Amino acid sequence: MRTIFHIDANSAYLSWTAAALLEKGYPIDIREIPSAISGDPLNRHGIILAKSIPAKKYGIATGQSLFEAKQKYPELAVYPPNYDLYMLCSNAMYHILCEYTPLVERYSIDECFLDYTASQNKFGDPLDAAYEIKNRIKEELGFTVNVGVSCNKLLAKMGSELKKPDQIHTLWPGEIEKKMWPLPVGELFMVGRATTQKLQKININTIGDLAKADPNHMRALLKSPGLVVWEFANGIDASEVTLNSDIIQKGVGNSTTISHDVTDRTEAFMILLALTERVAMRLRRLGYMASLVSVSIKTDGFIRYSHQMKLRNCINTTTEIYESVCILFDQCWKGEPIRHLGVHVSDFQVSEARQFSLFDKCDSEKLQALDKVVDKIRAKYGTRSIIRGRFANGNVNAIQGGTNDSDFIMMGGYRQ
Amino acid sequence: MKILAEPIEAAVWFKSKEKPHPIKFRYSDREGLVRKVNVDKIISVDEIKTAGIRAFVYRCQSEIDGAMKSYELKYLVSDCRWELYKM
Repeated sequence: MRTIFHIDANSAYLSWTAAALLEKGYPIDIREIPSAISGDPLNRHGIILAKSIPAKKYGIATGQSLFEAKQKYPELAVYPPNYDLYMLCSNAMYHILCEYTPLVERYSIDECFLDYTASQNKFGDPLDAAYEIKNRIKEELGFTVNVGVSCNKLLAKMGSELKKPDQIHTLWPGEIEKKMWPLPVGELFMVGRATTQKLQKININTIGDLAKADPNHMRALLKSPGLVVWEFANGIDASEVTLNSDIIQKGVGNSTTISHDVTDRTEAFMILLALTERVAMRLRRLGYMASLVSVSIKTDGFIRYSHQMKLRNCINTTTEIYESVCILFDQCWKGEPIRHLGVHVSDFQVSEARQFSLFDKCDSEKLQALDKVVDKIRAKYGTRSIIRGRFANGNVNAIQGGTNDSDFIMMGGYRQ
Repeated sequence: MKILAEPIEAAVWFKSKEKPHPIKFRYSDREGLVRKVNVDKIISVDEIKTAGIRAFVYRCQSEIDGAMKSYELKYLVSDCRWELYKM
């Protein structure tokens, strides 16, 4: 049997900010008062990114708008995010974990999976090691974590979510019935709002109800994810702790919420070009070419739609991707004010060989050579050391999408 | 001792194989008065990584205003900066 740990920083952004503030002599620990981390409402990033446990008692939740949260508790203390700090905290936590096993998967900025199976001979009992890890992070780094200990990733993750903060929970298969089955079904990993509603309609309210249901029935109701969540409810998960360098990426995309509503086609094109710059750079860094391009739009009325097209050949140059992006945008935009734009590419192929076409509009070899040079300059002198002339006299940021110039790890993304 | 985290100007001896060794520093106290302090004795040096920020904390002792006082200096590695950390 394997031994897997799931380490989860408690209200990560908030406690990291708290730790850094205390270190600078700040008089209060913001973890102990109703407080939250939120983006700037002026450029429309004003949503709650993290909240303290006292703030939770007033009904403040992650993802709410700052306005909503302030209505619930007007004296809420709000702090801006500091992504550089969060990277430092995340890296420091990761380095401590790496001392216990080489098999550490960074699942997101504040969560890691750790395969402890082979380390038992060296570091001893898993629970002792879990306590040591938890206490070391608290003492050395100044923030608290929850550790879930079990025999697979799913149970370890569910375990770390049981009671917070600063706790260790085991969730061995024998304990599922007592510790996991009484929880509401929405607490189960992969069961979101929509699935919860569907399940509640047929009177499945707890994880236990789902576990005892007929797997074929679940597949009929929820299609193939039905079987997966049924297995999860029974604590079945065979997935391995995978090093991030071994995870195969299937798509690259970036998007941005614009500080004002865009109604002008030319301005929308500028933003799409800035996003394409980022996406294409990331695509080339992975060493891939893409043959599927898609554009997504969110309107001022929060209606979201997207449009995609399969290309005849594979591309990786900014100019060529941007050409497809423009076509897609013109085909799908209905003229409403735009709040949010996104560019995504997928269907990858390793970029060694390339099929030429009689109908290629531009000399793509030249473009590839150009992008290679631009990438090198940006790697050496900084992302914005060379930008397209189109952006020189405008106020549109020349490269958009991603936090901290894409160095930041969010769910699924990771700097290689 | 209380955390002050006050940025200071410091004269430091960078040794060949050991950690940097603060010799004297200058800080403004609460009244805004600039004070000069010679680091008489370094009691201990500890590496800390609170919130992932790497720094070295020097526990020191000096004579300030005729009285022996202990205090802590902090060297922030990524900023290359010194602070009067606690006093």
